[in-house]
Amino acid sequence: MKRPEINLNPQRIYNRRLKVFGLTIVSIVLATLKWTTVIPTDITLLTRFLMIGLFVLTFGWIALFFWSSVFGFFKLLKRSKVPGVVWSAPERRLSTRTAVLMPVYNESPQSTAANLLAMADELAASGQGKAFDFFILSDTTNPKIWVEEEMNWHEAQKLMPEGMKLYYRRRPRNEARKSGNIEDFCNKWGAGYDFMVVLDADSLIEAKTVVTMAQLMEVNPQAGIIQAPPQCVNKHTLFARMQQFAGKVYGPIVSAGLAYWQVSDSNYWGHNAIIRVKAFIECCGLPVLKGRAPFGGHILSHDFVEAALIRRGGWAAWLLPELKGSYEECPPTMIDYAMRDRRWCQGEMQHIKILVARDFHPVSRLHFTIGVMSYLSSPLWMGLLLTGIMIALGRDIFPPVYFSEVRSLFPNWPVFDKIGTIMLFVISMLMLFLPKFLGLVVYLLQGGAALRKGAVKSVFAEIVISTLMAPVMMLFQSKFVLDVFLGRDAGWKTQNRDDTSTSWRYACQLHGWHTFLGVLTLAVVWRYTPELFWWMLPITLGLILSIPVSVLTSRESLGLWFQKHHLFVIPEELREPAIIGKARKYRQKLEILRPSQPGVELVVCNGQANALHLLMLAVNGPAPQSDAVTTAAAQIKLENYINHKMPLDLTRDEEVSLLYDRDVLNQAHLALQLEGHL
Amino acid sequence: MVAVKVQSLKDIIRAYLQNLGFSGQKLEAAVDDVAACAGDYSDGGSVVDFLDALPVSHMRRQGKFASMTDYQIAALFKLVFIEHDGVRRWGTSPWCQKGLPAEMLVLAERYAADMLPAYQASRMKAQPIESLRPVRWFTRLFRRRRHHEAA
Repeated sequence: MKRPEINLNPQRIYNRRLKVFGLTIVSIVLATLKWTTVIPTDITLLTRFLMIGLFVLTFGWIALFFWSSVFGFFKLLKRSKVPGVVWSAPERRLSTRTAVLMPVYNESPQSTAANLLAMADELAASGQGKAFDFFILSDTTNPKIWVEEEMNWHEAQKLMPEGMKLYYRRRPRNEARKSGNIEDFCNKWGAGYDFMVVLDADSLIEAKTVVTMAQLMEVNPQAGIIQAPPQCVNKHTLFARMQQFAGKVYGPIVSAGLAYWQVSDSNYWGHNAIIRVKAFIECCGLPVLKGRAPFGGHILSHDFVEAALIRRGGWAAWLLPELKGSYEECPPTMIDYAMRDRRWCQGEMQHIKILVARDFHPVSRLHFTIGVMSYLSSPLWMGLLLTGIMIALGRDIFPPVYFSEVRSLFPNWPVFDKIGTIMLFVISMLMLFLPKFLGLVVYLLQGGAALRKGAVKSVFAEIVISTLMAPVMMLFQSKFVLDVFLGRDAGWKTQNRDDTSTSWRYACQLHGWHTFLGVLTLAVVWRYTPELFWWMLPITLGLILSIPVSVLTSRESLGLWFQKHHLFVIPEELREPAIIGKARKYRQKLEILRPSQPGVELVVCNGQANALHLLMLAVNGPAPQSDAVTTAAAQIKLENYINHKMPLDLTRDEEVSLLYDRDVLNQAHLALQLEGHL
Repeated sequence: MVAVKVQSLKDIIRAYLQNLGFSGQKLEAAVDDVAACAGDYSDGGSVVDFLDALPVSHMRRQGKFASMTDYQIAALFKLVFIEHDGVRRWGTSPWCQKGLPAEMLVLAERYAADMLPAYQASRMKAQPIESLRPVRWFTRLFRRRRHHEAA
C-alpha cells in the first residue's frame, strides 16, 4: 500500500544534519589532533592507539550532545516549530477513535487508575471525551495486586465521566513484557481504534495535549508516531527534585536539538506518545531474536525498535517539543535510578545486534547507536581514566629512559603538553556544561519572574551534585554493561515510584565498593602520581562520598528544604497543573476504598470481590499450568483457614493457583459463611 | 475442592443469601421463600447449583449474554445484586419468579458492556530483522570455525 507522502523538503533535512554532524566531526577531528600531542610520547604504539580510540568515542559522544543542544537552543529562541508537521485548529472536532493504554506490571492500582481518571475527567470537560476509550492492560504477576487491580478498576469505572469507558484486562502470561502487552491489545481490539496513546504507569497527559496529538494524527496522515517529551514531576526527594529541575531547564534544548536533526525520523520513548494503530499493526510485530539472552530472545527496549520499524514501513515518527503538558515521574533515589538503568542497559545493549540489521533508516541506526553509547560511554570513560592512571603509574615504576641503547645525539625527553591538556580539559568541560547554561538562558527568558528566583543557584548546585554522582553512575553503568556481556539477565522488576529514602545500611551495601575504589584510587594517585591528584579529585571525591550523597539525596525532607530555599523549583511546583491535582484527589478517593484484606482472602471473604473476580476470570483468559502439588497445598491451606481459622499463609504460586480455581473460590466463599466467619 | 461440612439445605440457602446481603428478619423470610421455590434437593451442592442456575437461565433467555459462560453470568448476577441493594429492590424474585426484573437486566447488560469491548481481531506479524550481509558473513565465519574445532 502506498503511504501518504511526508511534506518535507529533503534538502532542508540534509542541511540540518550536515550542520550538526559536520560540526561534530570537525570538533572530534580538532580535539583528537590536539589529544595526539597531549598524550605521553613514551608509550607503546598500542597504548597510543587505545588512548586515541577511547578519546574519539567519549569526546564524540559529548560533541554530538553539545552541537545538538546548540541547535536546539537557537530553535527554542526562534520559537520555530518542527517542519513538515501540519497543525490543526484547536477547536477541530475529532472524527477518529483513540485508545488510551496504560500497561501495568505490579504497580499501585490506585495511582494508575487515578491518572487515567484525571485524564478522562479533563477530556470530558474538553468536549472531546467520547473519542477516547481507556484501557488498563495488566501484566501483573503478584496475586494480591491482581485482586486489588480488579476491585480498584471496578471502583474507578464508577468515577468515570458519563459516556466514557475504562476497561481492564489481565494477561495470564506476560509474554514479551510491555511490547507483548501492547501487541495483545492490538491483536484483540486494535482494529477498533485509529490511534493509541501509550502511557507508562506514572504517565499523565493534559487533555489539551492528548486532543492535539489526536488532531495532529488526523491532519498528518503520514504520521506513524508522535512523541510528546515528558516532564518529570510530583516527586519530593532531593534526587528526584534535582532530576525534575534538570529536565525542566535542560530538557527542552535537548528535545529541540534532537527534533532539529531527526525531523520525521525521530524516536519513540515507549510512553507519552500517540501511535497510528494501523501502521503499528502493519510494521511493528517484534520478532524473537535468535540466540540466548541477553542479546537474543524477546526485544527488551522495544520502543526504539518499533520507531525504526514504523520508519522502515514508510511512516513518519515525530518528536514534537511543542507539545507541553506531558508528565511522568522520575526514580526517587540514585539507587532506584541505577536499578532502572540496569534494565534499560540490557535493552540498549541488545540493540547492538539490531543496529546492523537490513533496511533500517540511517537515523534509526543512529538512535540505536546513541542508546548503546549512553551506557557504553561509561566503561569507555573508565577505560580512558584507567589507561591514563596506568601510564602515570608505569612511569613511576619504570622511569623514562632518556638515552636508549641506540646511539643518538638527542635524549628521549618525555613530553608533557600542560597547556594543551588544560585546553582540552576546558573544551571538554565547556561542551559538557555549556548546554546547561544555554538551557538556563531559555528558561530565564521564557519563564516568569517567580521562576527566575533561585534558577541560577540551582544550576550550579545541580552541576556540583551531578558531578559528584557521575563517577558513581560510571561504575554502576560499567558494571551493568559487564553483566550484560557476561550474560546475566536483569529480570523484570517493578520500578519504585514512592518517595522512600535509602537507608544507610542499604547504601553501604551498594556503594561500599565505590567508596573503597575511591579511597584506593586516591591513595595510589597520592603515593605514585601526585601530579594527577587534583585532576582526579572530582572523581575520587564522588566515589568516596557516594554513601552520604546517595542517602542524603534520597531524603524527602532535604528535597523540601531545598524547595523552601528556592532551589530546584520547577513551575509545576509553584502552580500545580490541574491534572496533577485531580490525579491526587482521585488517588486519595481510591485509597479510601482500598480493601484491607489482600488476594485470595479478599476473594473468599468479600461477596463483591468474589463475584467480580469470577466474572473477570473468563475475560482474562485460560489459567497458566500450575503443578498438582502447589494446587493441593493451596487447597489444604484454604481448608485450614476456613475450618480451623488458621492463617492463610500462601506462597505466590499457591495464591495464583487458587485465584484461577473458580469452583474452589465459589465454594470457599459459601463455606466461610456456613462456618459463621463472615 | 474445599470440603463443605454437612449442613441442612436451609443452612446452605441461608449462607448463600447472606453472601448476597440478606440479613435479620428479611433473611429468615427469604430462606423460607427460596427453600419453598427450590423444592427438595439431596445435597448442598445441588441446591447451590440450582440457586446459581435459575438467574442464569433467566438471563440466558434474554439472549444478551450469549458470549458469556454460565459461571460468568452467575457472577454478574451476584455482582449486580450486591452492588445495587438487591435485597431491598428485588428480594427473592430472581429465584421465585419466572424472570428477572427488567431493571436488573438493564444493569447487568451495562456491566457486561463495560467489561471489555467486542473483539476486533488483527494479526501482528513478526517483522524480519535480519543482519546485514557482512555481519552474517562474519558470524558464519566463527560458526564454521567452531564447527571445525568440534570436528
